[in-house]
Amino acid sequence: MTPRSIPCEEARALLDERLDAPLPEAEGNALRAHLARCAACRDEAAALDRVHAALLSMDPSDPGPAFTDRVVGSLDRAPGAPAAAAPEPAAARLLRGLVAASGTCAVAALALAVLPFDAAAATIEGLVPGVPASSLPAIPAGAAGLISGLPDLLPAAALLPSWLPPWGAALGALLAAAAAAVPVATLRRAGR
Amino acid sequence: MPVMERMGPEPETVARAAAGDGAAFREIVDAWRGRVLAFGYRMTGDGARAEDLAQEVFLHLYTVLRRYDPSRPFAPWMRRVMTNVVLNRLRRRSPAEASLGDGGDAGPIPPDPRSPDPVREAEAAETAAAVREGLAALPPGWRAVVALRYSEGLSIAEVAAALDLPENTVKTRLFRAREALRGPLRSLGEGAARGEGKP
Repeated sequence: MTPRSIPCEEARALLDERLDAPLPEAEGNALRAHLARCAACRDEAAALDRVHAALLSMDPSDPGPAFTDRVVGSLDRAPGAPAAAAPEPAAARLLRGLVAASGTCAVAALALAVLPFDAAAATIEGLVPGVPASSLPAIPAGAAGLISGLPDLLPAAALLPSWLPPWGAALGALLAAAAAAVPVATLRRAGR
Repeated sequence: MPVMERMGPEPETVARAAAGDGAAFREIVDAWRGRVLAFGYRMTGDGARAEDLAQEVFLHLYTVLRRYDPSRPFAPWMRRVMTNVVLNRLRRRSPAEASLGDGGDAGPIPPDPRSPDPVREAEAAETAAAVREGLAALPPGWRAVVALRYSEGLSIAEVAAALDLPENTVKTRLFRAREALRGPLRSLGEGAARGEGKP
């Protein structure tokens, strides 16, 4: 079958279309027939093919994993970025443990200072399993009056509010333990 | 092209990255790095600026990953993120800045003297430079169509989906863009064309 004759305008549209999808057979034949007799459209086809090839080959050099490292390293600067689940630093874990231990000491010391003997023993047994109440020395009668002047902040420091930074809570708990230990030791000496 | 780059990250990887998992996000960057850089290079004609744009794309992606619907394919969504970031960035700049030809990679690449056909190499280098300069003169919206079509070899339908445009608009822009790009080649290529058998 003789290919359909097409004008230059249609041929140039087909020249472009063939770059994105294969032409139907009839249109492909019509285009080939046109190009066989039209030098201007052949020039257009050659120029278009060069543009197509240049666009296909226009690629930058790949910076490789260094680029990925740069992107991942800058994620914390991205506004509204999801919070990364970073592990707790070892120093913070150590401080947190110190806080807990100091708090336990402070509560034990406080219990010895302010509670009747039996209640204090029960409190310490609860805090430190394995310490029998019978191992504790007796508190002399009237000793409670001597300790009524303990700093008011002692319980607050020993309770270790969670909003405190680890170092602040640790310092507070240690001070509380030390403050409680002094009168308790005095009372124990007086009791002997 | 690596298999992972064509396939894209697994939905679980995207979900982990959205939850702040840096290793998962790294997988996404590795899978998409080449495509985003290739798109940015065609949009700017400059390797360094393409890297800057790509970095912006990935930083923005990190902040919007939570909005991704894992029941839908990742690649079309990712292309929308990429094209939005790049087009917004280029449109915020002055017209002169938004175009190419700022000297970075715009100069013609000298032919390799070891090439078996240095004349053809020189012609290819001239063509590449002319095409880069021609891209500079196109509106960013046209450039985005060309860049998506050629950086990933996307179909007309895929380009239309990425840019949220009708397919006919994509075809028209591609046609006009190529027409504009081949204009400067007519003078460059006259010598070569004459040797290809005019009657």
